[in-house]
Formats: sequence, structure tokens, C-alpha cells
Amino acid sequence: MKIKATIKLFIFSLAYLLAATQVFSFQSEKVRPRLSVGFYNDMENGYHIKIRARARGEEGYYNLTEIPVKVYKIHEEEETELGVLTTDEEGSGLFKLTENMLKADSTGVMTYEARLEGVEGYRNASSDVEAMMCDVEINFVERDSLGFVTAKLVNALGEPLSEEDITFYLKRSFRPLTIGDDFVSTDEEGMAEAELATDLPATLNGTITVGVFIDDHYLYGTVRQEKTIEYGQVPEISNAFHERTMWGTRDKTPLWLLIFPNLILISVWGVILFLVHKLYIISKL
Amino acid sequence: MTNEKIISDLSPRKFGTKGTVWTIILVIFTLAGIYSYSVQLNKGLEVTGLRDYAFWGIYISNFVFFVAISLVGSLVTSILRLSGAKWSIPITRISEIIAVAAIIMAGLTIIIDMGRPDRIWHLFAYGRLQSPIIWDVLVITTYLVVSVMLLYYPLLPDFSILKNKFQGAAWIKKWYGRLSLNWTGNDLQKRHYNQAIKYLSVMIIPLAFGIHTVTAWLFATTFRPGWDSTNFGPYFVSGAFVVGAGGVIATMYVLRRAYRLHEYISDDLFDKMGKLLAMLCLLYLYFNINEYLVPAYKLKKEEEIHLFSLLFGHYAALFWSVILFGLILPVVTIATPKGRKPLPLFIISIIVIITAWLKRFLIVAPTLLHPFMPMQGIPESWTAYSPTYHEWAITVGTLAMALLIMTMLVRFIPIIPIDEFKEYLKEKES
Repeated sequence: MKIKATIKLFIFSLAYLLAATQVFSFQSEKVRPRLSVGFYNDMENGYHIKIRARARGEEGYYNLTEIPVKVYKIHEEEETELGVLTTDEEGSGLFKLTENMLKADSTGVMTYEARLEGVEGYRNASSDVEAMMCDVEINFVERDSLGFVTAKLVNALGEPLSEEDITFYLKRSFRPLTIGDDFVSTDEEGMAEAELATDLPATLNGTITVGVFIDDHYLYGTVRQEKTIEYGQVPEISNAFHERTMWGTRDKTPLWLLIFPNLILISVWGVILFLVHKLYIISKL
Repeated sequence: MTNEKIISDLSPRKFGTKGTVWTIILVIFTLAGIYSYSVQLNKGLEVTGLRDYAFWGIYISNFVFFVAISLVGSLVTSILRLSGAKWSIPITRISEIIAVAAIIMAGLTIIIDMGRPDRIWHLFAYGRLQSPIIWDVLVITTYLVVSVMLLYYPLLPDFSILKNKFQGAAWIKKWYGRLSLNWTGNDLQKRHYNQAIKYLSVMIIPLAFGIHTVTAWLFATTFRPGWDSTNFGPYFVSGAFVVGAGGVIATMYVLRRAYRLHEYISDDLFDKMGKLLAMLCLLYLYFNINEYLVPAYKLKKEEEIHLFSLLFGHYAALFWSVILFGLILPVVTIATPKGRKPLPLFIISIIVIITAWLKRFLIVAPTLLHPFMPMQGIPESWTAYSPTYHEWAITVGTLAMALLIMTMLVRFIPIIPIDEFKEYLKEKES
């Protein structure tokens, strides 16, 4: 009896161990993704969410590419699926928020959640972000013969954003140029300004594009707003296309080259024709 | 020497066996060249060794060579004539024949180098006066016309003599009559004639300098190391005088032997031409030193690579052979009276002509193989240049055609101006 019980216990334990190993081994094959969500507001894409999916491997983090991630809006305990985005080769994805997706609660806050679920080989994961819209009004003022770019920041409730660090910049072809200090704080009215240098290069139309940048704010996300203003020094571009040059087209031959070589040619060929005429005269004499 | 003897000796004659064989050989080479050109026309410049690096090769070397040798017309006919060197009278006609043949072939060689010769009319429809190529076209055309006139004018009295005294075929005699333009040698005709010769002699000198300077500017107006040189104009002109003089000496010797003209083309003439050649070689050597020593002193990186390949690298053997055999050897040999005898001078002149052609190649090809920036994504074989069989056949064909033109002119016109020589003898005796 005792032996039978022992054998039974042994078999049962073995079976349990085997089952447990299977379960754990099955579970350890699944990748554990890490999602990060950010709220953005810029000129190019408007309001949008950027999602990044990574996982930790033996040699550090790596991007999860071609992964479908669902985007939800959480509004007063109700969740609405807004759509699905697929991550690119950098493990990132951008989800544009249309007007009906920007409904805020009574405090002006919107909550979005990104979920990775039901994807084979991956464990479920989610990440959310709470954000509030903010409006940036950029203007140009002239004071004491100096130019200033000003920004007024208000949130979705119309409240000014005070004591917030923003960066003024000048938009260029490759990288923006910071105007003034790296960070400028808004005052109690949500206003900030930076002085524009007098020698800023403008476009051929005499305009520059100035912008305001807020980097990864805990509530407002990343904000980038720009405005084109009439300011700056128009570059003097020397364009010799319409001038008479040695490298120009045939209708733009330099005058000296038109005159002197042609004079030489006319003289020489005039003499040649004169000599041919002489042959005629000789034949008649 | 009686008038009758002079006319008899200097009248054009039918070719003997050697002349006929010579003509047939030239015709064969010319036809081979024409056939190779037809293949090139059909398949394109792909049949040549020209590629992205060396887009100019032996065709352009040939072109520059022909332009160079054509300068002899101005040298002998005009410069020597205007300076009162009457001893050059026996060789003026030879010089003009060489000049005309060479400049005709120079024009044709350029067309041969074109991948699309059907577009040659673009030169006139779309040509820019700012382009050195247009300058070259204008000056070559003008020089050809003036050279032909300089050949034709002195033929008037000779044609007039031959229309009465020529012993050959009647149809040739008839053409002599037509081409003599009723020349009788009366005072009025002589006055116009002398005036025309004077104008031509004066005009052809700046033209000759111009043609070769402008040809040099095809290279010198670029930034390429080896070509970017303000020395190129006089460098080319002096080189042209050398090869021109060599060409005249070689032709003098051959024609003297073929037509037994020892009384007309004397050893003294060879002696004088030899001295002239030596002087021109020294002048050209001076310009060579200028051309290579100055960049070697400054040694800009791009020039360094180019100079190294010429002086010590891939082209060293060819370069030093050209300098040694084409410039130094002639001067050393001609310095001795024995070296100025007809046969040694003939051998030297042949060496001068061959090395002159090779010098043009050294000017054209090595520079192109060392561009400022190496080209990406091209086969390795394109970074070197080796002329193909087609290119050689066409080049030899053009040389044969030039000799054929000269041969035909020698067949039908007096090699030595009959009337001028008679006048020269008269003056000498008086």
C-alpha cells in the first residue's frame, strides 16, 4: 500500500513537472515587447501619436518591425479602438489623430493607449499616454529697430502655459538654428520672445520660417509649430545666365569676341576674295 | 642649263614601275582605312579603344600631327621667301604640296574622330563663337584656302609653259591651258601676280601661327594637368616647324632620287635645310624644357601624377625616346657636316617625323588617363588606352591618303617652280 502510494506520487510529480516544463518553455519562447507612446503636434502631421515597439535581446534592445499595434482612445472609462498601425523597420509607427479622435474630458485631457495583443510569438503589451492640446500663436514684432519673434501658448482650456520651457528656432534646409537661448520660459501670460539677429539669411522672397519647439512635455507631448514672416537678408545671387560670357549660349557671345574675331575673319576673307578676283583679272589681261 | 633642259627636267612625268607600285601600295592602305572607317560608321566608336577616360586617342594625335606638318607651307614658302632666301625656291612647291595634303587630311581626320559625322552641320547651326573648336574650324578652313592659293598662284606661269611644252597626254596639256588662265607673263599680269604673292606670303604667316596656336588652345583652355599651360601655343608652333622641316627634307630626298633632280635640289640645299632643322629642334627643345620643368618645380599633386607617368612611369620609354631621337639626336648629328649630307639627313628627318607623331600621342593620351577625379562604376579596362586594329588601320589610311594626295600632285604639277627657277638662275648668272 505504501509503495503503491509512493509510486503514484512519483508518477504524478513527474507528470506535473513535465507539464510545467512544457508550459514554461512555451511561455519562454514568446517575445516580451516594450511599447512607448508619445503625443505629438507638428506642422507636418498635425496631432498624432508615435508608437515605438522594442524588445530586449541578448545584445540589448532591438526594434520590433512589422508588428500590428492597436490604438485606443480612453474617454471617461470608455475605450474606443481608433485603428491599427504597423511598425516600420525602425519599430516605429505614426497614427494621425483626426478631429473626432481629439475629444478631451472635462479637464481637457485625452488618453490614448497602444496595445499589442494577440500577435503570435509576442506577449501582450500596452502603453498609454495622457495629453492635452495646446495652441501656439507665433508673431513678429519690431521694437527699437530690432525684430522679435513672440509665442503665446494656451492649453485646450484656454489657460496660458506659464513657466514652460520652449525653444525658438529658425527653419533651415537641414537642421534648425536656435534663436536666442536654448530654452526660454514663458511668463504668467504664456508669452515668450526671442530677438532675431539682423543678418539672418532669408529666402529669395525675403521671408524666414520661425518655429517654437516643446520637447516631450509630460502633458502636452512634443510640440512644433512654425510661421513664415517677412524678415531677414535676401541673399545676392550672382546669376550670369543672362550676361554675355565665355560660357554662355551662342546668342550671349561677349561683344569683344563678336567684334574682333569677325573683323579678322572679314579682313582675311576679304583679301582672299580680292586675290580670287585678281585671278580673274589676270585671266582677262 | 638651258630653258629647254629645265622645262624637260621639271615637267611632270608618268610614273615608272616604282612610282606605280608606290601608288598602288598607298591606294591599298587608303582603301583598308576606308573599309575600317565604314565598320566604325556602322558599329560606332565602340570599335576603337576610346572610352570614358581616353575619349581622344590616336585620331586626335593624328589630327594635331597633320596640322603641325602643314605649317611647313608658311615656313618655307613665306618666311624664307620674304627674308630673301632664294635658295629655298626649289623646295617651295614641295612645301606647299605637303601643306595642302596635310591640311586636307587634318580636316578629314577630325570627322573620322566623330562618332556621328552626320551631325557636322551642327557646328554651323549651333556653334558657339566662345568655343575653341569653332575657332579651329574657322582657322583650318581659312588656312586650307590660302594654302591652295599659295600653291596655285605660282603655278600660273608654269601651267602656261606646260600648255605649250608638255610632252605628255593631250588632255593633261589641255588642263594646263585652262588652269594657266591665259597667262602670258606680260607686265600687267606680272604686277598683279607679284602683288598677290606678296599678300599671300604675308597673310599666311599669322594664319599658320594662328592655326597651330588655336589647335593648342583646344587643349590649353582646359584645366587638365598636362594641358593647362600657357606655354602650349608657342610649344605647338615650334614643334610644327620641326616636323614640317623634317617632312620637307624627307620629301626632297625622295623626289630628288626618283626624278634625278640633283642639279636642282643640291647638297647645299640639304645642308641649309639641315641647319634650319637643327635650329628648330633646339627651339622646340627649349619649349619642351619650359613645358615640363616648370610644373615639375611646382609639383602640384595632379601634375605630379601626370609627370611621373611621363618621365618615370608607363610612358617613360616613349617619352625619353621622343626627346632623345626626335630632338637631341638630330641636333648632334646635324652639327657635323657629314650629318647634313642628303642620306643621313633623310634618315634623321624620318626619325623626326615618327617621333613627332609619337609626341602628339604623348600630349593627348596620358593626360586623359589622369583625370582630377576617378570615375565610378566603370570597367577597369577603361582606365587604360590601347588603340584597336580599326584605329590603326584608319590612321595608317589617313597617312597613306595624305601621301597619295602628294603623289598625285607631284604626278601632275612641276615639283620645282619652273618659271621661278629660271628667273632665279638668270639672277644668279647676272
